[in-house]
Amino acid sequence: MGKEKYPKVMKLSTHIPEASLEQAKKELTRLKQLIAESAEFGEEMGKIIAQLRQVAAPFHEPFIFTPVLAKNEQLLRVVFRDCSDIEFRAFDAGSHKALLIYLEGMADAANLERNILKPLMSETSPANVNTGNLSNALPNMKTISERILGAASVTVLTKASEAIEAVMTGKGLLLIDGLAEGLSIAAVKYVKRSISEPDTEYIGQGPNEAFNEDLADNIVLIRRRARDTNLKVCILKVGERSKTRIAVLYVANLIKPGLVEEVQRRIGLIKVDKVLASAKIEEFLVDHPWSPFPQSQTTERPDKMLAALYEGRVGIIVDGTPASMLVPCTYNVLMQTPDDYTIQPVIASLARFLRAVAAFLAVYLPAIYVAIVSYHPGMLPTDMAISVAELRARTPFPSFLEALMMEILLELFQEAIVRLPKKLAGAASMVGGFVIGNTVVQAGLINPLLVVVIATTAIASYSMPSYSFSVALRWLRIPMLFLASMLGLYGVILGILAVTIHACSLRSFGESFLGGMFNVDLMADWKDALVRFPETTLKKRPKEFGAQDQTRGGEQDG
Amino acid sequence: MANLEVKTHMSALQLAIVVFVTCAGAQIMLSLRSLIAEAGQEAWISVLFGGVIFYVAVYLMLKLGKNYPDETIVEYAPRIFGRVGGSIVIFWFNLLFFLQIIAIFYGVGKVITFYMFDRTPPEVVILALLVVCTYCALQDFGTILRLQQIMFFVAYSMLMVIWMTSILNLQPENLLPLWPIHIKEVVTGGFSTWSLYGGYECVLLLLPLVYRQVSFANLAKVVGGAFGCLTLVFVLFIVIIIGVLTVDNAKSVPYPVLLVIRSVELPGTFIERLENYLLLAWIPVVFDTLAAQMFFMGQVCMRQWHYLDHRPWVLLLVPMIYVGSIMIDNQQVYDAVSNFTMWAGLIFSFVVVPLSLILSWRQKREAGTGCG
Repeated sequence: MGKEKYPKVMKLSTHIPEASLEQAKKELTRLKQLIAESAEFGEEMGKIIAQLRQVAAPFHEPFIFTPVLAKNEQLLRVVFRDCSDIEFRAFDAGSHKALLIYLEGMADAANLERNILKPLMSETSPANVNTGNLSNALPNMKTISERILGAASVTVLTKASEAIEAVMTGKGLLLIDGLAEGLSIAAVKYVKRSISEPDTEYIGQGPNEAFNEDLADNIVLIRRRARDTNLKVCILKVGERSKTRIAVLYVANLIKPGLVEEVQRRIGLIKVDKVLASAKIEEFLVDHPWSPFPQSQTTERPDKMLAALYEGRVGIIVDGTPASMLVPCTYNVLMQTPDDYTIQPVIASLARFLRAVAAFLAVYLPAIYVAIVSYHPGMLPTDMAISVAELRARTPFPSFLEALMMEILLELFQEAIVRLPKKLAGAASMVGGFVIGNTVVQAGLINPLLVVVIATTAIASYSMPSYSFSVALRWLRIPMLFLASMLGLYGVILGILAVTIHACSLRSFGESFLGGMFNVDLMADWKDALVRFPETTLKKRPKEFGAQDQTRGGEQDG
Repeated sequence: MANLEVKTHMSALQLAIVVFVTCAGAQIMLSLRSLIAEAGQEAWISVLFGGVIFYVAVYLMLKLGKNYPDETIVEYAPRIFGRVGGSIVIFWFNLLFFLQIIAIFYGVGKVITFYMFDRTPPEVVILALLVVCTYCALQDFGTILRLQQIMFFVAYSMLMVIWMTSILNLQPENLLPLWPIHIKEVVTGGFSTWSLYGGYECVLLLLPLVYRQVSFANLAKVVGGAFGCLTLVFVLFIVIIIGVLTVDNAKSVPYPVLLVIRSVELPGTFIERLENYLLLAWIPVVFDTLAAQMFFMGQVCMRQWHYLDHRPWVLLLVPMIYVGSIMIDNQQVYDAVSNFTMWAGLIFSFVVVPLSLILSWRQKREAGTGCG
């Protein structure tokens, strides 16, 4: 065996200068320096946090108030940093420094000046002969509010979170040096819409006030109509960030046991960052969010809400939206209007019956047309069948495609008209209705009878008192058209059955969506359902909502 | 607490409606020809006789149910007949529903394709209806109960209004002799009307929902009212068919009801071909019978195997029902299935139920004696 030759082993740093020991030592020194700097930085951060929190604040509290006003101000300035609309007004209250904090535009500055600043500055002034002795002793906020301030509604606050929320809702926050508490002063004043007429629920004879976007105004509209201490209002807050106020209204001695608790439980389970409309709440509250049918009644009329409350239902008003909700919701209440109770019972009954027919037509008329024309022309009178056949002969498409195209056109027009500015909506409906409607017929694309059918369907859907119910009916037409095109009238009947099954299976807070309709155990409710009996015969509340006191009268004794 | 008010009971009137709707269904269209062929001119007397004897059967069932007010037959049959015997009775009970369902699906497929879609295979018609019935049978009892009431008020009133237009073609002389003396035919025909009245055995499942609220006497009275209405409806159909077609013509056509209504002309109106309207009113009637019976089958299976939900059982039964209904591929098989179902139903009603009643009384007496 010969001696093997190995290549000469060389240092790594010969090939890679960065791997030299000197270089590694340098890097290590730099790393140590960085660690030392980080530790110093951490210490500084700790000091800042310690400054921010003199003592450990409880969970969910940003800080706690200290008796040192400067500290409190510093902490609040940190919380309200980059909020240029927050006003910090420092002043002297006798020998004490004081600070008034409020949100510009949400709080009434004149009110605060009149009721807070002036009394505090003048009453605690040493020059004041009557109250000059107060200048050195401001024992607590309660005494100040009772003896000095002129504001009607004040609340002593000990928690920082409550103080911050008070400022954000438009209240003034008063802090005084030497006191580890604050005082919130209700002086909310902001730009809002005045009470006006309802957009969608206008009635000919009767009150026409509607809710606006302000929760307090909306509650007042209800309270003004009923001086009843059993009418309860419970305010909840929803939205991790928006903290939107939601009022739950009910009549305590009428409501079915467990219903309010269930409503509050469901509201309490809502975990979202913001709530900007009641519709968002609705999706969390209903039992079947995938159903096309509305399961809560929406109204902007206070009289309608009050009537519902006295039937044992629950009202839900969301701050910032005029559309309020009523639960439980049944088919009957969706098909009734306040107008029904201002006209003769016979006429109201006819109107209700007509609405029920309209609801049927709104869903099934195009499907019935397609089924009869495509599969069962023999059901038509001979003359009519011949004329329909002649009309059909001029159009190139099968009846199903024709109906589908017209449906799509109709939905397009409706969507466009809703989205357009009011001034353009008229022009758009003119173009849609007259120009396109006429042209498609003249061009031989669509059978004129179908145009009549679709127009009737559209008008029928417009006659629904509830917009959300009307939208549900609109969109049910499409599957019905498909069923009619595949199985004719047999398919339409099966579709009707499927929709009926679905409606029967829906529950709104435990009550059937169909309410007392066709329920032989609730025959008493039929007097105010598809028909309306005279008011003299409606002595009982609807059983379908389970009101505790069935008799429409005052509170039962004993 | 998603549902504040779970429906765990119903009134006597609601039970009567369920009995009416479950019994009066598809067979109005499918079974009358064979009844007329069997009983001839006195078919209407057979219907009256059938109404009486099947009410007696229901009365016995109500008595049996009263002995076990909180239980269905699925729970108490094993206690009466032992584990094996009880299982056989429960199987028999469920088989009755199954046989009725597949026979009705077959009949519906035939009638609809015959009169509405002559180029569509009956399997398609059956499948479409089966889908809707399954959707319904998957719901809770509150939904089924509400549907039964809707159908009672809407579908049956439409059906009867359309059917009564055929009075215009009635020739009273066709009904003569009105009171022939053929006791044997009347009795045989009476028992054959089981196919018309069949479905009443559902009370054995529903009584626990009623008994705690309603007395036996009230229940017997209200269910008797339901049978009275059923008898009236069937008699109206029979009398009008014979009055319009005569017995000889009626028994020679497959669906005499549709032939009768087809001949109606309403002067001064635009309505033509009334048989299509009658069929459209009949489909919901068939649907509610089928959906209810499918729901009952699911309930029996659920209770028998101690499940909490009937829905998996309904889904399991669907392919069996579909295959069963398309396996009846001609009229002879249909007649054989109908005959077998009738005998199974008669034996169940007049042998098994009375025997259960006697045994349950005996067991209770022995238990009472044992207690001293």
